[in-house]
Amino acid sequence: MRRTSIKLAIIVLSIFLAPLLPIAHGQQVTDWELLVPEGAVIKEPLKLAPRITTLENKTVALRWNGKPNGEIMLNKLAELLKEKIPTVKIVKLYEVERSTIHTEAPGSTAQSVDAEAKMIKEKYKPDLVIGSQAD
Amino acid sequence: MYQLGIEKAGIPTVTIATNEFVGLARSVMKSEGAPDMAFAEVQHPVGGIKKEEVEARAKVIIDDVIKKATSWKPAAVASTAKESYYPAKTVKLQGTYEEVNAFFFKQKWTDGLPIFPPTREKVKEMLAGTSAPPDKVIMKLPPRQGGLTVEGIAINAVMAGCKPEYMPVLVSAFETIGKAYEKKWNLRQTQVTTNPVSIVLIVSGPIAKELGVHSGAGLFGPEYHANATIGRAFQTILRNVGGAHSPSPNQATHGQSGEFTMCIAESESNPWGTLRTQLGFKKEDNAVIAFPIFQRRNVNDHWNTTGKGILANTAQEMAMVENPMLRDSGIILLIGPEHADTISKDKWTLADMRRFLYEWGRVPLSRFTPGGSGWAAIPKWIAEAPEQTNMVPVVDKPEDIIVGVAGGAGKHSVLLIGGYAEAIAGPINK
Repeated sequence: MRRTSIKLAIIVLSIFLAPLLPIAHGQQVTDWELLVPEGAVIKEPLKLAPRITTLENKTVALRWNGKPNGEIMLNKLAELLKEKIPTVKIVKLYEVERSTIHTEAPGSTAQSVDAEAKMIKEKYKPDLVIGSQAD
Repeated sequence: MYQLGIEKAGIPTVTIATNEFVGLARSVMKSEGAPDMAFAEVQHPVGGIKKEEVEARAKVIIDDVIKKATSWKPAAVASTAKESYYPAKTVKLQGTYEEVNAFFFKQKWTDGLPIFPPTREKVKEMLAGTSAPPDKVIMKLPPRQGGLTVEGIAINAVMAGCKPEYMPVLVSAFETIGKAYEKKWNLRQTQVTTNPVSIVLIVSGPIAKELGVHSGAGLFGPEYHANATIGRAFQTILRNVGGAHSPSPNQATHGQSGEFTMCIAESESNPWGTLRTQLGFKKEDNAVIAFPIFQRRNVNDHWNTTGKGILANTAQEMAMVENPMLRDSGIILLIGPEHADTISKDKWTLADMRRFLYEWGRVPLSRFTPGGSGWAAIPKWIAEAPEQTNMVPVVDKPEDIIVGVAGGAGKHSVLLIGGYAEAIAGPINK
């Protein structure tokens, strides 16, 4: 009887003392509502240009971003395109319009990008532009 | 970006990107609102290999180029135009503090170190540190073009462990950068380059002492709460809102530790004025300076007892770290107090120091390959000189060297070597 009373007392005491025991903060399961740190991206989708279905008799402009060997790659692609499609006309912008050779250069803005595109369109009238990017 | 301009003009494109960089290309594409683009992937690298190898890679991709030119169609994507920048979205989780951190890490919202969870209560407390309204859109951060609001700054500041009183520095930093970015300040390149570039924030003025932003011994190191957390919040925002995550689109080959945190103050004990006065502010103003840097270069000079000797040593260190990017950006020289004492006792003026460093911090022209990437950055009057042993200055003009004082005891100064954009400064408004 006495042992049972002692056991009961220990159990009751534990129930009252348990909330006071230190609980590692990290181990406590909590409901969290947290703010997302990313920020929204809001953009109306850009409409891409209509696609072509053949390169026969088309003008293809090649644009180099100035990174090493990019022009070698484009020169070889030009040669291979002519082999496969003899009627294609190639315009190497990096030879005839050296101002088009640049990466995301300092000073590039939406306005300068659009202005360059307009110049290429009006002056060279390409049906397709193949560009080399990155390293 | 230029290929997207072509598309907008009504001409279809095919873009060749190496498999290591196509992720960056797609990120830029998305940030500009393009649903998709025709990419032809080529094996990386294209640069730094022999001509025959480049041509072999071209043969591998030619059929794909033709296919992308004639058969490819873009995927459709839903417009995000009806979303708003404020208030921020929320995420509900049930778990321990460690589980919250694991979730944030998985989302790539952390720098790999534990964060403080950004609860509504904590963000509200943080916002109390600034008078700027929480819904104010400061800028869109490249390359992701995420909209950064004052609330967004507060969310990331909570995560980084900032105190609310630090908020004006962060808000002012991004306001300053936002205005400069509109005028072509090259933030985009610093976010995505393969170079190890990171933006240092320098807090300048009486507010530095008020906030405890440290300008003395070990200022670039740990143990200074304001330095550590303001810098951390700033870098976290560049990643989370700007999307500059490693390994893509942040293509930094090695990166640098400044991408964890890099925020300091400059000393007000500067015999030549302060960085902020050289950048157009008054002595009584508070300003924050942002400067993208490749590296910090130590000027270790324990032996010169004259100002000229220390400056000559400094010029030599400048020449060691010469690169073409310097000419877009310039240098900040932070003179250690002991060096500053020696140089000022020899009566050097700011203009004299700049002129001396410009004249002495030079590299031989023969280091550059005509037509190589560095050649384009050489001033014309040097490139066209008949004598090929001419010495090329590492900056375009003496005023591109800005001089401050910082640091503790010891005979050291430090060069902050700029890249992609010049140092800019803006007012800190509470």
